[in-house]
Amino acid sequence: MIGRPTVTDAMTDEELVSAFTRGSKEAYTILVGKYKDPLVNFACRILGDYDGALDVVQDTFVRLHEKAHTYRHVAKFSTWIYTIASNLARTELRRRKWGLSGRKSGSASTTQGPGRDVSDPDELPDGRAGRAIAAGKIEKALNDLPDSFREAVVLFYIEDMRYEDICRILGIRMGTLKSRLSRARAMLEEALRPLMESDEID
Amino acid sequence: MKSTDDREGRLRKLLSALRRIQAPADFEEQLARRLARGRARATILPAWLRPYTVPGLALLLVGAMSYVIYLAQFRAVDGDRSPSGDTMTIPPVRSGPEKALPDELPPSIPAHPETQRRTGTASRPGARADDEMMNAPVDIRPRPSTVPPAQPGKGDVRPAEKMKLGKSEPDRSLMMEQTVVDTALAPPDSLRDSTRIPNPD
Repeated sequence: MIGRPTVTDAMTDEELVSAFTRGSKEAYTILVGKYKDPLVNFACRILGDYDGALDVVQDTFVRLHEKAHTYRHVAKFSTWIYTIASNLARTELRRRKWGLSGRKSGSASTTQGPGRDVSDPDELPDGRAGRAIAAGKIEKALNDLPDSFREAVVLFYIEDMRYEDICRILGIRMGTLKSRLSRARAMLEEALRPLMESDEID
Repeated sequence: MKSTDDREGRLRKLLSALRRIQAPADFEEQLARRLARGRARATILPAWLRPYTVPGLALLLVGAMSYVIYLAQFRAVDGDRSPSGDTMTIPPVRSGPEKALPDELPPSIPAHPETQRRTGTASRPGARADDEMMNAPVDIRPRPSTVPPAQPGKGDVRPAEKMKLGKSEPDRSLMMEQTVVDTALAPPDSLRDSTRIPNPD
């Protein structure tokens, strides 16, 4: 007798997707729980807007629900789901550029989650105002980068991904990625020079 | 001066110091609601068909309008009239007793030249001759010269005279054509009079 597959948290992402395509709802729930926070963080950094990021991530999981059967094991599941989120975020950015979306991107609402405004010093672990100001400056510098540079920086520095995975997610060559990272680094260094030279971050 | 690795490390440290943004607590509930909405929409129209909805409906509307106009213009006038039927079909020539032709056709559709000739309802003077010229078969074979070589004492023999001299029955239609051509080529009387050289006497 063929029943629904038994799903555990110890399963790999690929096994979970496979289980979901065979009808396991638990596998889908585990995948959502595992990827919702990283994807929200990623989309929020790209879009600069928390509500927009939530929409994009929900759309990503809806796509996963509808298209899980199209997933092939040629790439890691994380790469696949980040690619979907990245494409949706880019579409949203394009819509905003043409004024088709009701939302506006901006650094002010970047970190407005449920009670998580970084610029509020009391919300920080150490509660130091200087740290909050620094965080605000870093966010502004990040948001001032061109969209394509920002994607690369977020995936490489914040999500700690490998070059190969980033190339797959963004659909670009290794040389292009390194060039974008190099130029983005130069721009960030220029914008964050005082912070870079202070000893506080050591 | 700090090395590239050092700068890279500092930048990484700065960026990783940014707080990680998290999804709200009711994210799963929102997602479940969204999936339910999506399923409800999918039961009405499959997702792959949705992008074609508006163009498809527009095409259907245009098609329906065209059909209504076609019916109003051509079908409602008289049972089986269509534009293609009247312009493209040539009625066959009947050898038996002729059937009565329709008395009157709508003015917008000209009757066939054969019908016009029979009923004498040519649209303008000279239309019948034009129609005959247009409908006459064109023989492109090289013709032998009808004019015999000039013989001393006999002079030229015109086709009409040649026919008269021949034993066979003269073709009346050819004679008529010749008359028509002669009349057409002859200068009008007024011109003949004006070109006459007055007698000085």
